[in-house]
Amino acid sequence: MNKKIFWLASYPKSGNTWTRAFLTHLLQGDDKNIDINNLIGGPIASARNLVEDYIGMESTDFTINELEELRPESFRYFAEKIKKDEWFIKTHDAYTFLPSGHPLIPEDISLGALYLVRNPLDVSVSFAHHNGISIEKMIPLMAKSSYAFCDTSKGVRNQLQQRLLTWGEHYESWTNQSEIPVLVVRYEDMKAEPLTTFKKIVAFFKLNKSEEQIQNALDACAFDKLKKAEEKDGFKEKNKKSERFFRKGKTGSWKEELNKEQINTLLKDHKAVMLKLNYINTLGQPIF
Amino acid sequence: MKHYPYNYFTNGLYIASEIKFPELLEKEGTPTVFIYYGNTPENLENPSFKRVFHQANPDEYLLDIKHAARYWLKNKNEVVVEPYENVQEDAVRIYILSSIMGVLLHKHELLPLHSCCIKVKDYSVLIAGNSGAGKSTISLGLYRKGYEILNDDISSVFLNDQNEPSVYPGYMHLKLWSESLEKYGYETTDFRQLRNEIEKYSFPINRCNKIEHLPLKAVFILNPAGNQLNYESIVGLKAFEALNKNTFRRNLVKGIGKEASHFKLSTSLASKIKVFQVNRPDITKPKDFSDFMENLITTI
Amino acid sequence: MIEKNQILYRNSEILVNDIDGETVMMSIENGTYYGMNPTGNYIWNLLQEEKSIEDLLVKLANTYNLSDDQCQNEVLPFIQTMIDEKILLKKD
Repeated sequence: MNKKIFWLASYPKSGNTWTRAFLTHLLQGDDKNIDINNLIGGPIASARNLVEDYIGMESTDFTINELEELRPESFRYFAEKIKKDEWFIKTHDAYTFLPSGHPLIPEDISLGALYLVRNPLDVSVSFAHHNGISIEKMIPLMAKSSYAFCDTSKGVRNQLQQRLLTWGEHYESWTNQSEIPVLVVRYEDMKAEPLTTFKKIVAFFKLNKSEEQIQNALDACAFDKLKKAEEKDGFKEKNKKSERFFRKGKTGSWKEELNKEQINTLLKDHKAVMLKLNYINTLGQPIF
Repeated sequence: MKHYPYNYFTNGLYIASEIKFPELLEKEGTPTVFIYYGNTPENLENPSFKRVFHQANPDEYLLDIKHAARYWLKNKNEVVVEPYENVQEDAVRIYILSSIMGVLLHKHELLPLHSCCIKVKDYSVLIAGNSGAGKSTISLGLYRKGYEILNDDISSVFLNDQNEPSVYPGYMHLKLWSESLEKYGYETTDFRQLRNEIEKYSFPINRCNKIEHLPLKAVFILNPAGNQLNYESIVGLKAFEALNKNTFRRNLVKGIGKEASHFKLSTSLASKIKVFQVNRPDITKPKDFSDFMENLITTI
Repeated sequence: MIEKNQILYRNSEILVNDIDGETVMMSIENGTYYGMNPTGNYIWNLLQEEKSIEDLLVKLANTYNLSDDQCQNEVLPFIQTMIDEKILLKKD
């Protein structure tokens, strides 16, 4: 099988859905309104039904580890059924290795990965809202290497366990590996210079689209449009504990929402990677 | 002549078994299914269906689970079980009660619906839905209100001599996740855990076991979503589609060569049973949902 | 485009049953289900024995009072779909 998957990888709340909406409009839309519950890149890589389709039976009698070992094959099974030359899968998984030693993300089906990253100061606020917890509780989770979504063995969840590592480790896991080519894009650049940034993304995906087409797709996915769509149809990827998925979408809203102590903790926790990504200057001061 | 120490009647099948199943009703009869230990092949010849854990052809079905056993349905009457070393006994049983039972029922031209079965006065209803939708949990709620649970997980449906939809009783336990047990104030330490690393437990069900089968009036399909706790009726082709979606091991029917009988049975049933979708928002309290379902199953 | 004197017959690999007045068909070969509208049902019933497309159109036109136009633009494409889906087969 040829390589045909581009991964849309990111820590949660970093612009993944916006990118998917853009791609959907660029590749499939014209003047139609987008169905936000049917965006390109779905199902998310951790959807339980990806594994269940592959094994052809339920997955609820298998342990978390057993299911994890099945994930790379389930991606291959999914990719095999794609008729196009390239397709996309969204994921919040860090680039990790299974207990057996294999990488979770199979290199043999992967054309590349778009890694979206956002200022952890803003992520902490957005992620706290998404999880329905206080910012106070969210901050230490972002600094915990063992933090994972859907890692309970006490009940059934629609998604399988996704290991997030810390915010910084998540970024480094994707960028330090050399199996799959990665393009790193900052959310802040997507907001400040959308046309330039999305052109880079389109070029990385080797999609043959004109500047006009790209601009049209961007216009169709303006944040307020996505917000309206959620109000009308609901968004199935919204966490049940939060009120809405498309909340503010701004850059720098952390300034209004974090106190001094919280800011200092986040800066301390994620200093190295924030510096790498120019989220702070050499004096440790936030740039955005 | 092999001696089978255990004899059961479940889901419409008389079973003679070398393996003990505490979840099944002990009853003597003329067995049509024999479960015994023996050697199993690594692969089937000429499989018409093959996946990583199981494969099938019109005569046989092979299921290979490394943390339990390899199971070989030689034909519709014989299940050969070859456990792997150092495995948990419960694990070996789990797959017989799920995948193997599903295939057996299709082969015996019964319709296995992925559902729990509740006895209501002189009829029964099924509560169906995907894994995690809450079938067993609501059944526990109804059990606590005094309703008899005739089946958990796989309910065996057929048309009786008067061509009416009916259901056979089956498992005498509810498989419950620790989350569900804790909702009703139970301690998981009081129950048998089904697999060491998974918090699923066997909750034994007491019931009167005199009935051979019971008329089936309705199927309620749980949809754990939506903004309001309500239900809607589904008819015609949509009902047929819904029953298909909730048929256990639907994807194996072609591989085991039972398309025609399955089609006939499932289409006939779709005209004769009432099918409903029940929308249950996530915030619904267990007690409110129990009351809602009790009202629904007693007034249809 | 299909010839009007083409003879059609039922595919025996198609299973049919009725659900509350709606007809459902299934192709054993590809596992697909079809919900058949009354016209499709009528055509299926007409083909208890093989018939030419011309015969079918004449019977349909009479029963449903159809114009030539309707036969050409509505019924014929529908029959073509039934052939494409291998519900009806062409006799050589």
